Amino acid sequence: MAHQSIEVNLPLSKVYESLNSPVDFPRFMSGIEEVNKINSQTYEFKTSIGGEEYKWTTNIIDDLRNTRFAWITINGNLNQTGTIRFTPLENGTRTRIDFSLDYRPFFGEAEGELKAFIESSEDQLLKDLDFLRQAVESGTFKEKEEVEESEVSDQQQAAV
Amino acid sequence: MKQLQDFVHTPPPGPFYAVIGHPVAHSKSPLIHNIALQHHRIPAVYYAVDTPSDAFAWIGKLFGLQGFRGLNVTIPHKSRIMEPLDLIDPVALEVGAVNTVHLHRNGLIGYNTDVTGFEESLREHALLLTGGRAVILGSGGAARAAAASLKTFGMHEALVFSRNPASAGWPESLNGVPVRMMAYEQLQSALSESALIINTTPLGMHPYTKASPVSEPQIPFLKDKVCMDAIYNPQETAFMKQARSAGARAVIGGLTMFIAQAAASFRIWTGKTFPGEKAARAMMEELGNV
Repeated sequence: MAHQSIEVNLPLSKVYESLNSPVDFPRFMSGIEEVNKINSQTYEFKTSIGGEEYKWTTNIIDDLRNTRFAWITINGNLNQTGTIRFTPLENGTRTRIDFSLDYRPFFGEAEGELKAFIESSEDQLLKDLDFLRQAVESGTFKEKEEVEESEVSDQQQAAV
Repeated sequence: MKQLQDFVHTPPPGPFYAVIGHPVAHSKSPLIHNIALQHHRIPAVYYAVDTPSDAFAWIGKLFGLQGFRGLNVTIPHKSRIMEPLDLIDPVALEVGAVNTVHLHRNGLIGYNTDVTGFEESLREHALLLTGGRAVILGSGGAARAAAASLKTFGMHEALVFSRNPASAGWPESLNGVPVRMMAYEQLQSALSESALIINTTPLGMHPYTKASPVSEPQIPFLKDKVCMDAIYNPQETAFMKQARSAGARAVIGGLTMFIAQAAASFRIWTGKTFPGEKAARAMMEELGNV
């Protein structure tokens, strides 16, 4: 299992909001290509490793706002589990993120490219979190979504 | 204190949080949450709102009030409150109870911070708990939250004691923790093979402070255990005294748990840390005056 921690120069609630939806994971996790929301608790992940396609469905098992977010895989051809813990630093003005991520096959041992992918996941997670930190702090992480939301809001206002 | 119907007809002029329940006049939540709001200079007030069962129908009006920011829920509405919510945290769903409602831009989200309260109270003793069994005395809502919290510590079974184990209606496992329902006749052997004992019964609560779920001959079996009481009034219950006299490894009172669950609610609503020591001091002063 890969474990990494980073500290972000933003308040807890802002950091939590950036990380509590798996559909945003491909924005900073280079090992995940696509995440689709099935319902409020269930998400479908897709990626390819060494030319082979991997697809798995996860359920959120714990989502305590501003505290932690965890999920497990319920089916697919790759078993991923993850936990993100959020800790307020300096009276909530900064935030520590502790991210644990585990990949394993459902049957047998990982081999070849998949084995290499799993073995490199600890280093990759650190790089991904560093990218996330920069994106969140600079405000670019959810920029597109916020623009879209504000467009929707403008339209709603226009409709009213 | 206002009842819910009156509260929604003449709401506070500014932002507010509230706890609903019945009876709720004794609740210490307003005391500690208002300390936390003032500590962070958040311009809001926390109220206790008496909500008998027939007044619950007004809950939608409460959610729709302009100043509404968040809600705590206590007996008897912890299950019923799940109906009008848009989303419920998976752990709260598993426990079957919500005690915290957060107003999010996507709707109303329900959480169970009692589970967090137990987790935070026990975390310091995690090494003594991993891989062990827990005895949970009582089978109500607090017992379910206590059982759900054991997952964090990798405890492998919860032995739940009920006066009517067959009709307690518990699942075979809760939040991934296997559950075995037991009758009080089996308590002595269960105590001997468990690492953690949690009292969630009202035995020992003010004003019946001499009562305990553990009988005199069973006291020696509390030796070397982690013992916790969910009761915070009195701060030192009869069960806690028994545990200390037997040589328990750790004795934890309900005040720790009460503040930890409040801190988790406050963090959900505001993203800010709870001034735990300040709140504990105020609680001790308040309880000292009871």
